[in-house]
Amino acid sequence: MKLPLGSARHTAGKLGFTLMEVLVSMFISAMIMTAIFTSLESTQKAVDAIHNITLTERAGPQLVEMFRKDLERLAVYDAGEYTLLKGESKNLRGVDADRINMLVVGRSVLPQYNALIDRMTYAPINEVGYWVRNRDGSADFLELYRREDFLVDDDIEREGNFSMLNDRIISFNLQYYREPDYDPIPDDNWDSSLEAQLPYCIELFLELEIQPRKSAESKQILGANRARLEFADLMVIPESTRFLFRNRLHPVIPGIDMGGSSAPAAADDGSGADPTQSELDDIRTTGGGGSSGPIGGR
Amino acid sequence: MPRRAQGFTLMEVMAAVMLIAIAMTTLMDLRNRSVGRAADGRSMSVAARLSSQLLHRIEAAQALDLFDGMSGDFSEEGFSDFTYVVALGDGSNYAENNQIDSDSPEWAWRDSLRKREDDRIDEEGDDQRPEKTRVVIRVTYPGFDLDSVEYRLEAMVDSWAVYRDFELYRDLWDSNNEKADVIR
Repeated sequence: MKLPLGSARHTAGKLGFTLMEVLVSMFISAMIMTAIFTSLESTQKAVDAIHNITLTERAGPQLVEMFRKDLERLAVYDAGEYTLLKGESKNLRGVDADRINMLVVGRSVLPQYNALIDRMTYAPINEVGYWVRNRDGSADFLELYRREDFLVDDDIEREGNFSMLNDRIISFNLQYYREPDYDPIPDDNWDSSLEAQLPYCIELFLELEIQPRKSAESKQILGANRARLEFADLMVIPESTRFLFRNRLHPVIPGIDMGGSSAPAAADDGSGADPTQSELDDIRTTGGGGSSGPIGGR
Repeated sequence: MPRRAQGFTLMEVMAAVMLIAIAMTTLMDLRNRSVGRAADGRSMSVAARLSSQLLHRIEAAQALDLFDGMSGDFSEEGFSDFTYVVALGDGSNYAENNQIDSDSPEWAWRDSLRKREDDRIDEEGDDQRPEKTRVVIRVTYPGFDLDSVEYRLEAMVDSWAVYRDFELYRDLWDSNNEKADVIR
């Protein structure tokens, strides 16, 4: 745009601009600057709004989903002992900071160095826990960790690698429902080795605080300006899983006499598929035969 | 054009202003639309989360007074703009998807389900329930540009949990609990 101005100057043979020209050009550039700044600012607001949007829907639901995925992979099949899921009600600074440990089938998230084959390896079965602790230097927030212990050992609660999931947790509460009922009363603690069964449903309450960037833009987006977020979800443990755990199905090589009772249908049925009612009856009758049978406990 | 000594013609200025205006409008529109997209995306994930929470409550047999066509909003979860309708069973009229037309395969499929459900009720009576019940949750929420958007979640849930029929549950599973005692 400067080019015609310049050329005008040269062709007219005059030096400099008139006051009018300068004023007009300043006015125009001011207009352009204002427009650019306005759009820049509103773009910044849009970025903030989108930031808030993703933040509110990522932080909490992701944790809940992770917990659900772990719970879905409980290692019920061929469980040696009843120690499989242990939830403890805990308190930190007067708020719920529950802890849970469980045995989970599935590739570990963190690899471990195996000196024998000189390679990092992943475990097919792990102890997984969700632990909360105080956050250093903060009186308001807790830290949520996911504990993962390579393979199985005697104690489901000891050792392991901890990875931090979130450091702005307000409270973390788990409740365990024993049986479905009209008005079930949840337990705060659950030890599957004492109960000899799994809860039919676990309720999770998670409260965390995020740092939204306040902006007028995100005000018009449904609830995107909120800082304190609460999530509650119910996680049902399927009856087939609970059945497998209660009855401690063990795989048996067919044809080998297991001391009295012949290898029952239970051995073939351990693939994790839902057993039908007739199959269940079958297992019950065979399993009841002798305490040393494949289904029988100690 | 040496004859034209100084300044722009009105035409030139107007053309320039016009160009700037068009560019600006496009830019602003683009920005608005990107915010709208992000907001709609988030609303959809909120709807998905809320509806699956409701489904989990139904699965856990903790959805009180559930009936076919039950509706409400998620103000308890902090989203009063999100409303839901729950449709139960194959033959539910509330499972209707308004966006599908009557000659599409999905419509035919739903129609056949409805007929099958009617036949089943004729044969067995209404109180004989199948093992699993189809649950459709339709969540409606205001879109950024559109008036309302619908999110649908469809699942097969144990009938005892849907209808909170704990007698049925015990019939199905309770004998195993006794068994567990014997084993211990």
